[in-house]
Amino acid sequence: MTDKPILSVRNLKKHYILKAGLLNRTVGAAKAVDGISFDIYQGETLGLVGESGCGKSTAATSIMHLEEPTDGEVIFNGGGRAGESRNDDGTHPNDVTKFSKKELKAFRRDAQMIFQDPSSSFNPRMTVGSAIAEMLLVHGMDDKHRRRAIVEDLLERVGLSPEDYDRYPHEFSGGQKQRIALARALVLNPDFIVADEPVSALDVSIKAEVLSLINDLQEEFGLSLLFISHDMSVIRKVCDRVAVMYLGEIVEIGKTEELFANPQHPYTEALLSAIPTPDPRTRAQGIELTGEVPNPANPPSGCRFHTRCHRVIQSNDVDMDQDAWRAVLNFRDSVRSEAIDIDLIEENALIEEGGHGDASDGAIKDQIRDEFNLPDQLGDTSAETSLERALDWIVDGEMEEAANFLSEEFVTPCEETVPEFTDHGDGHRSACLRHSEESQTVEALADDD
Amino acid sequence: MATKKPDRFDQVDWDEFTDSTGLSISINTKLMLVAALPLVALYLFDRFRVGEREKTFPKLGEDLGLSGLFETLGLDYNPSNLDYLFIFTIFVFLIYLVLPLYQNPRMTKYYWSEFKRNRPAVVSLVWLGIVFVGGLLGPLFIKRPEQDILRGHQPPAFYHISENHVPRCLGEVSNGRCHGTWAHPLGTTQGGKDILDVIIHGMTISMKIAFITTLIVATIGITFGTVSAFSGGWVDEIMMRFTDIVISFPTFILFLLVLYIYGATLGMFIFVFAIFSWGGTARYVRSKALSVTEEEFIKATNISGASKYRIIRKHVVPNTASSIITQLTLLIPGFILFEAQLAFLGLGDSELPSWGQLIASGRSDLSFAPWIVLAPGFVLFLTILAFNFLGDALLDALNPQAEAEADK
Amino acid sequence: MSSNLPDFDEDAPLLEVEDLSTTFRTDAGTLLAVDGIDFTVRKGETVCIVGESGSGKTVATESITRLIKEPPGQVDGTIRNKGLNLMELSEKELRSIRGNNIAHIFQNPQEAMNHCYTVGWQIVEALRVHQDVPKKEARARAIDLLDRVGIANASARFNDYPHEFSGGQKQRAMIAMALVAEPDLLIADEPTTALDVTVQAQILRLLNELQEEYGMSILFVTHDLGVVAEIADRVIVMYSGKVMERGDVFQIFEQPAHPYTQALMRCLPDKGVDTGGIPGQLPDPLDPPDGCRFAPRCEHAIEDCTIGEQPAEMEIDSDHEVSCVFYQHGYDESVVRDRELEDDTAIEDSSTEVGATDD
Repeated sequence: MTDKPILSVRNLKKHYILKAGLLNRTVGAAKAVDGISFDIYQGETLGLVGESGCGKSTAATSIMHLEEPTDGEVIFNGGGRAGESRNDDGTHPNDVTKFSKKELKAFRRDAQMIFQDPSSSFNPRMTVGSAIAEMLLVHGMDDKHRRRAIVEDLLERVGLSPEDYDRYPHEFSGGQKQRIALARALVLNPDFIVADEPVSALDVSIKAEVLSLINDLQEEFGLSLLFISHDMSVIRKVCDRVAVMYLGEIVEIGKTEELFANPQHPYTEALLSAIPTPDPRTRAQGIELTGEVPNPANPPSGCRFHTRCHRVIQSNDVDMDQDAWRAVLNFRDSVRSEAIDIDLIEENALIEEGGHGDASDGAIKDQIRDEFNLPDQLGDTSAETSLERALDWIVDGEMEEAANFLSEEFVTPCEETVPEFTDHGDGHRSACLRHSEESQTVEALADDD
Repeated sequence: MATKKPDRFDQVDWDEFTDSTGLSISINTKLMLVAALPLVALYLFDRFRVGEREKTFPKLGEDLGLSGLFETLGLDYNPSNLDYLFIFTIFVFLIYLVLPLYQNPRMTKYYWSEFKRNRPAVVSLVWLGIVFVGGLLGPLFIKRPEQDILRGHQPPAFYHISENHVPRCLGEVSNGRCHGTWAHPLGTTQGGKDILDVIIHGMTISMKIAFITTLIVATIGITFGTVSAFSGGWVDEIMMRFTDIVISFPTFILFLLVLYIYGATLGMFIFVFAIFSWGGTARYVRSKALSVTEEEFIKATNISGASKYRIIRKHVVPNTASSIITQLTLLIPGFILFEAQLAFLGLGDSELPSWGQLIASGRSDLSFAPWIVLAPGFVLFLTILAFNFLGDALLDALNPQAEAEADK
Repeated sequence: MSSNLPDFDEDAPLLEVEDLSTTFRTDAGTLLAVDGIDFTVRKGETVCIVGESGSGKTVATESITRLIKEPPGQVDGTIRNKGLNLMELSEKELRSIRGNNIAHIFQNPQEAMNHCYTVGWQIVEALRVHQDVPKKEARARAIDLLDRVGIANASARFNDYPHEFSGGQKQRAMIAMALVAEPDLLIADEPTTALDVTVQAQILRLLNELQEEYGMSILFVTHDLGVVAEIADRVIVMYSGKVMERGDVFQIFEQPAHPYTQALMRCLPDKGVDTGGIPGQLPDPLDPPDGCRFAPRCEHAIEDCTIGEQPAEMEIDSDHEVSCVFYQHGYDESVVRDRELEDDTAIEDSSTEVGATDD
């Protein structure tokens, strides 16, 4: 790939300022997108995948400049801008984030977007034809009949009939509306389209239809696509390359086949194993991704995925079952965030025991172990002693000490070091500490790329 | 243009269009101009050329040298300021509300099919249509009822009362009872005014109240609401706090004050109450506009490169319109009822042939002449009820989104 | 169980539905949402009803405990829960059935919860409606349930309000609420459609585990065949209010017999030739076509497919029935067989999901 990418995103950030109190003081920022970089080439489809709340939609709106990004560059080389090169002061003339009003309007013609919800993506009081034709009108095509002719032709191309021009959105099904949305995105003949979960609100049969239409149109008009989805099976069907996003960061990026066949980041692995397999004989016994995406206002330190990672690295001096390690870390985090209500646990333990008065310490500890999926005995003796000590403190109500002690005793390298990207060859890169440890060798290999 | 322009989207040469603004004046705006300009001219003529005691149309005929023609047409009408405003409002109503219904037949058909499911609302619409047409055209054909003591207390047709109460019975007298006649189908007041005539003139007044307040409330409310929603920040804050003040203003006390200083004309009533009633609408429009802005089609229009004005005018306002129309439909009966109540309490213009005045004039004769109160009371009641039914039905009919979601 | 209902026949199937029809009266005419379907759910098994939006699958399940609003709806047919005909029960008796014997979870956990009360309170309330237990014990049971449906640190989350729960957690809490009376049958109406794929996997796994633990039956409604493959024992394919095909999950996935089932299969990634969806739309429920409901969209349709009633269901294998003209006497069934889908599964077996295997 020697030619210039049509879109280069460099270190893009979008932080939402959080304000609180009477004086509206800034108390922090939700880092919805926190420094992502990728390229999209002519005619290519890049998938952006992640759970809800990972910032993929914010990334899309920031790239399209629907929202002002906090930092970073979005260099768009489509629409005959390819000749430009960087200015002397380091800025780029094609940087969307710095476009003037006029440049931005021209950019709107060359880059378009499709949205997720077919029921809200059309003005219910406008015929779909005039909704599409409006795009032409906004960009100065005053000739009413010509607008109509163009839109009718386009409606036919996306599998509808010209008569549909005069119909209203409520007269169409979800799949048809998504076709119309495609027509609206196409009518200005853009080079680049962002599709934000275009099929996740659709039924399986219609999903397949719309996806194949997107594929056909892309081929016919040489479009580049940024395809956002939480569904790996959809990504696999349409994308050339995939970027996996977690909590505002890209954790892995690579060619679709390569990434599906050989996922490097544990998060990618987890996402892949969550796809329901259409084969009743192989019921998923893979990785279960527990918990939810953490709050982006206060992301975990180090690798952001470490709070949920099933491969979270054990500290040097412990050696136990991976599941137990995960449970211990979860327990530690709960104690640290003061999310344990010892009185309630005690009450429960009492009922479980069937006794009256006070529950015994042992019962309380058992109850805690039970609620946090901690095994009765950790595999590692010294770790077991430490855990027992922390539990004693908790039973005595000394939460702070237990928290401090646990924080000292159980530490994973994942929370201390921010992982760098490791290259696995052919543009397949991932950011996981497990690879960084062997990164020397990988870098040496990557040199001849 | 030598060659036929290509009609395919991927063959459009966008460089041709670089300078165009994408804004064009719609047919509705043109029509509005055509209709409003003569009206404004007539108003200015009335204001500056016509003297206090002269009548507008005869004077206009004089000035144009067409007195003869005007007289043969019977044009001796002398419109008041309120009349100009009323006619202007009717134009706005026809051009921006009724005409679009004709221009978008599919949507109209859909609204109608939704609307007609509500039977009482259809009846209400018919009734309000009668009141509207009666109010608009009635005064052109029916002279304003005059006092005539001798014709007082005539009973309605098919009704009879003791002869003692009637100064001079116009109908048949039998067994000492005076029967009503078709000359006065709903009877007359104590002053001898024909009740049907007064009711028809009252329709005009009710329609004036309905239309003019609606225009004022909608204009201020929509402007305030959308500007506030789209400005955000401290502008929004100040505008909404001002709205709070307007809402909490003791309008009734202000009206009493104005009434004692300037007298209680209908114009004053409409003006005072409309000026202090838009607060709720503004708040409503703002919240609706904010929620519409969150919809994906606004994002999609944004992405098309459309200007903010276009987005507000074409996408946000039309989508808040249904709720505004509903809200206003429910606001209007309040005004009409309020006027009647004030009139009943004797706080209105006693010369005004409004329903309220009619009811007020009949209260002392209730024992033997109940029709004076009952006839206008019934009309008033029906009208208020009709507006409420209509508002309710519009709420359901004007919301295609809800329907589309239910289909899923 | 504190049920004062007529006796159940413990030997009868858990749920027997016969000739179930649900119609809605609308302005435009009578809408036939479910048109005379039969099915049974046996103890401890998971039955999936699969079909596109508008196929009547949700209405069918809601008709079982008559959650359908009547009028405009009307439910006809026989529905037997362990031999007890639910159609003959009063509203009060039905209410008792709804919580104690048959529980529901819905697609949208946001709407199914009361946002004014804590999650714990709602579960306790659900518990106390059905059983007379002291408040303290009810709370302990509620926390235990929350713990069992996989809510970490259940004791502390007990006092959280629904808005403090994420979508997946809410669905877990809904499941906990459905389980309070240890129902025999859990009706799950697209419980994972509104959720992320990762959370969907969690919920499916949870349902599988709970089923083993409680030995209950699950009637699972979905449009996603991928989900069906994960959870079902038996599958009922519905289209336009009619059953197209039924069989155990292996028969459906490995020998899909009805053209509609085959078309659905082809919509799945990695399954057969990608035909780009199923062209056309569901028939108008106000005016369904004659003959096979799927005929207008079927690539194999012949004239016989478009006359008369929906073809009778033919048994082509043990417990595998299909409602298609081509399986009746005098027709050649090989016309509609899709060898590719069948072969495909064989290959699929050997090279299943990468990434999941190295765990």
